[in-house]
Amino acid sequence: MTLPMYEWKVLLVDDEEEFITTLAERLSLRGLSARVALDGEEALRLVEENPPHVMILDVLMPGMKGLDVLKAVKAKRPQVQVILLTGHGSTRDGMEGMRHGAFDYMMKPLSIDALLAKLGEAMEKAG
Amino acid sequence: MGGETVTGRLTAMAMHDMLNVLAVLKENAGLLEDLIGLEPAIPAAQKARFGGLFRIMQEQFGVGSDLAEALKRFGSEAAQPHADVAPLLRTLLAVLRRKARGRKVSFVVDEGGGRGLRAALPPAPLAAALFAALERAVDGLAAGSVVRLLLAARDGRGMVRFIAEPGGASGWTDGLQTGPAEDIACEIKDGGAECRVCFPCL
Repeated sequence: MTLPMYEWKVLLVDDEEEFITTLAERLSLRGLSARVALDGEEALRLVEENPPHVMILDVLMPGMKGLDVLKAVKAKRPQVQVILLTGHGSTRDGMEGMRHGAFDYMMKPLSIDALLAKLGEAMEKAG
Repeated sequence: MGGETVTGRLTAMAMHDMLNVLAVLKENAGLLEDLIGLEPAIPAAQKARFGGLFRIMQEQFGVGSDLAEALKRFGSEAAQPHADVAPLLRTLLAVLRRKARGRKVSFVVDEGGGRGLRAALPPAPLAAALFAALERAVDGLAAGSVVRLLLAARDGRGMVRFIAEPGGASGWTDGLQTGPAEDIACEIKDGGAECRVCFPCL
């Protein structure tokens, strides 16, 4: 059974602070409270502290790359559903991520409605 | 590192940052739209007016992102020994989009028999030859023309055919070099109605 949206545990990971905090605020206006991590190491720490149902993960970050974060999360917490964010038109990283267990990938810039729909699909899989 | 490689890397890095800038602007415009939508003191007619403005902003963020992504890819692949022809063509069309729209000339890419076509040469010289032909089509064809870009490969030779419609449009190929670079040939067919950019392929 899918949980109501206010119970979804979502972690947003992107080094672009202005982008990711604004996205979190837009989600909160729709009743979804998301946590934010600004790099891969912080994301892994937050996953260990309190595993999210779904993680939205930027592929291109300085330091630990998104695909490495994905592999680390899937190795320890395979139930966490990961949606990758790639550059617009860049399908290569997204396909590579799906081979490593990502639920799906989306391209930046995002449509908030498309993101919510994708989160809903990932939540169904997260069970 | 050669000049072309440095230019490519700088372009890719700058366009990556530009994509982030556009993503931040897009999200903040979206947040502003959300907040205005939730504000009871703003009359419905004014909200509708704001809604129209936000739609235009979102469209333009999309156009900017397409362009930045295309140039980012072109820059990051500049030093590669081989060029993926269809993506390269789409990059060039993204750059030329505004000018072509102004001249009311449009392009249709038909990968047909050339799906997955890879040129056995770096992207830069092929881009130069293709861009010269695209720009000539925009400058030389009448408003309302459509140019079909057909990709094909045969016996180790790849080609992009530029076929202008309505048929018989001649003269637009004037001035195109027949041999713009080593290994690349620009063939003019049908008395100037069609141009073919030919190159070695994998």
